[in-house]
Amino acid sequence: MEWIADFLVFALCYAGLSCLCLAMDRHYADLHGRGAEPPLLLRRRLQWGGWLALAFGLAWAMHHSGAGYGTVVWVGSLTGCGLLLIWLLPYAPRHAMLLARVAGVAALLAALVLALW
Amino acid sequence: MSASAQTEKLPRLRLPEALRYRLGVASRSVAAIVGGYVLAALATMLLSVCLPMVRVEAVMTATLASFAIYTCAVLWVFATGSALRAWLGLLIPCAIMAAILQSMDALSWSLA
Amino acid sequence: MKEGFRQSMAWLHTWSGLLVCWILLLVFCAGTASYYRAEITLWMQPELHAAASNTVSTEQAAATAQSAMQERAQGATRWFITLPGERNPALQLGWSKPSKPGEKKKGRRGNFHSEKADPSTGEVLSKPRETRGGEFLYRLHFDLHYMSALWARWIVGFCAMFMLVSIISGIVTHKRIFKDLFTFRPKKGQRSWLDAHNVAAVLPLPYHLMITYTGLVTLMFMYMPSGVTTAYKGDQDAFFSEAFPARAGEAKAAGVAAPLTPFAPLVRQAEQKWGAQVGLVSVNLPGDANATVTLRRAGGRDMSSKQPTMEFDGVSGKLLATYGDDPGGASSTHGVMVGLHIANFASPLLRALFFLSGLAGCAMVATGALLWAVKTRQKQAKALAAGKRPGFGLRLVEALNIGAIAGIPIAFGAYFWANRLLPAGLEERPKEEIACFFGAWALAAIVAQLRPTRAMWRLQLTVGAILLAGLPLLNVFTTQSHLGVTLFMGRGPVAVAAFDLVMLMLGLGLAYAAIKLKPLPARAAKAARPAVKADVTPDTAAGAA
Repeated sequence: MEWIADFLVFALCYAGLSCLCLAMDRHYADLHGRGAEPPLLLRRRLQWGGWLALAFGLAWAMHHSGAGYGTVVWVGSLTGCGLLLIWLLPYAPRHAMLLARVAGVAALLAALVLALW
Repeated sequence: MSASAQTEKLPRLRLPEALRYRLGVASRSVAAIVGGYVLAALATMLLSVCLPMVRVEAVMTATLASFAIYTCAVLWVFATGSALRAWLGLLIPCAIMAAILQSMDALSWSLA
Repeated sequence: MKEGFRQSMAWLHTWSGLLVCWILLLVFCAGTASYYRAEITLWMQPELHAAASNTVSTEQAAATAQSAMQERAQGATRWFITLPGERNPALQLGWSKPSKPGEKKKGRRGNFHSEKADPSTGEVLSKPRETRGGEFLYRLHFDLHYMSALWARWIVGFCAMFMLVSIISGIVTHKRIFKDLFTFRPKKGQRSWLDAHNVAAVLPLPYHLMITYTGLVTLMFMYMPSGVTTAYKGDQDAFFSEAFPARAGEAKAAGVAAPLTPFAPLVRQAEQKWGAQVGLVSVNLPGDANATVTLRRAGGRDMSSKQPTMEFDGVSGKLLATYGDDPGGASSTHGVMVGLHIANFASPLLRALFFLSGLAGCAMVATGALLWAVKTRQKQAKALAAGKRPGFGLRLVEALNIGAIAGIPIAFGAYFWANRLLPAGLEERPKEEIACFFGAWALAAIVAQLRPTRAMWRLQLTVGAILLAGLPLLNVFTTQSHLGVTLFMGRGPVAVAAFDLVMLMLGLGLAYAAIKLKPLPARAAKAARPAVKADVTPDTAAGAA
């Protein structure tokens, strides 16, 4: 069960960071062509969603593993997700975003599993 | 007359300029590496005896913090305006801390 | 330096980083490998792979250890027993004997005997080939090699301070550190190297700060003893016995023989008190009337390296003292900092994340050095185009770059190949394996100096790729525990399969870097602009490192 809890943190971090990246001009353009900018409403939603996902990730990590260990897991997950994203975005932006959706769904599933057990 | 005097001066200025730069860098490097360490060590000593906690805890805290102090000293040495200021900025606090420690009769053990 | 704060910090960042980067690269590579040193050691002892990892309770394991030690460790004055845990399914037994009179003193290492045993039967696990395994890599990253440990630790500490200064000055000087956080523009020459360096350095910035500072902290009493000597008036021993209670008691032998109390009930008592497993059992003067048994709690997920201990009378089993139950704030902080550096507490996922961040650190150092060389080459572009030789500094840096960045993977590869190819009964086998590590590295570095060109880079990266990616294949011919067995038949050990896969991936990364270093077309070769170089991603950069 421990790995599911760790995975939930990781999935939330990936989904959250992807949203935040997509809200940035540079990476929105990676997906939709040079010069494209996200419409204001979408940008707001992505930023809110992104930060919320990250916050949930931290809260869950601290709840499950204690304040210290949880923070370390969260920071480590952010690093890992960040590196993954920075590798995918220039070369395969669509895959990066697809993975973000998968991560979101996986996070929900993991949360469900953890809630029921 | 004055024009030729001017053009004579310039070549002589150029060499010391480069040399002065390198000497400045060398001076600051020594100040940062050696002087910074001395500053951090003295600060550690002072904190170890002055912090209002159990002795073993004070020593731990001071030693843990010493590397941060060292780093700040190094950064300051290279950020400040001249090599002279770098040296003074290290020597003066060192002297003050050494004096305080000496008055507390705690300085001699540093050389152990 | 007189230009302004940011510029002076940029200058400091460059030089504090560049001057020590090649040593730092070694430290980072060996240190990152150390996260999995137990698994590396297991991989390097294929005789142990088939041993069934029977899971027994720690009580039973301790009892088994006790009877095994009584049998095999006659005449020893201290016993050390590491009980099976998450990373090591075997019992680790160690004991030290005093030198016999007349026998040449072998030093601490020579008098210490250690072996691995099956935790359910106490039998010595079939004598595996002698190797330092992952422990060599762990020691390498702070004790270096072929020099006294004291010198090595001062050198590494010096470099670590340089690195700390480099990190902080790098943060201070980077104007748009957060805005540029997710910027990576491949295929843009010097700009891409800078982006790669930024990505490898800034994304894992908390890690880099942590690992550098905590690294200094692990040896802080050596680097900064002035606090201790001042507050304790020179009596360092007094400080250490206050700060780290229950260190090796120097009790004297009574000279009267007395049977050692059984361990199992002591382990049970300790585990009940702590609600956690016992990790280490050490015995002082076994078989003597003054014997003591000390049990140390296994850390588990607790981040501190300082765990409570319980000391028992070795004959009666009575509890004498408990230590470390209530550490002060600063002591706990110190314990957590050391614990964070060594990361024994980490779950498998977290350990993998630490490892990934460590690889990013290797990439950060390597890309930094390469960036400087590329930038300097551009600065000297006019002179070079006019036919002049590159400046001394540039030539030196480029030579060191190829020697370190391409050479270190070759060294690692050679070490692992030597483990498989050297005969098992070879005299001084561990030393020979280590000699292969340094020998291969020296050879690569020397050859690189003869013609430090792009072709040489490609050659050495290719050699590194073949050595690392070839390990799983080598396993097929030299062991019974290759990927066919460990992965596809699912028999494990998992650690061995994972090692093979990671080596394969790193090797492929190096191969990718080598392929991308296509030779420059003839026209561009004369121009100073560094044309399309390797497509640098953090992964290939990590692989190249």
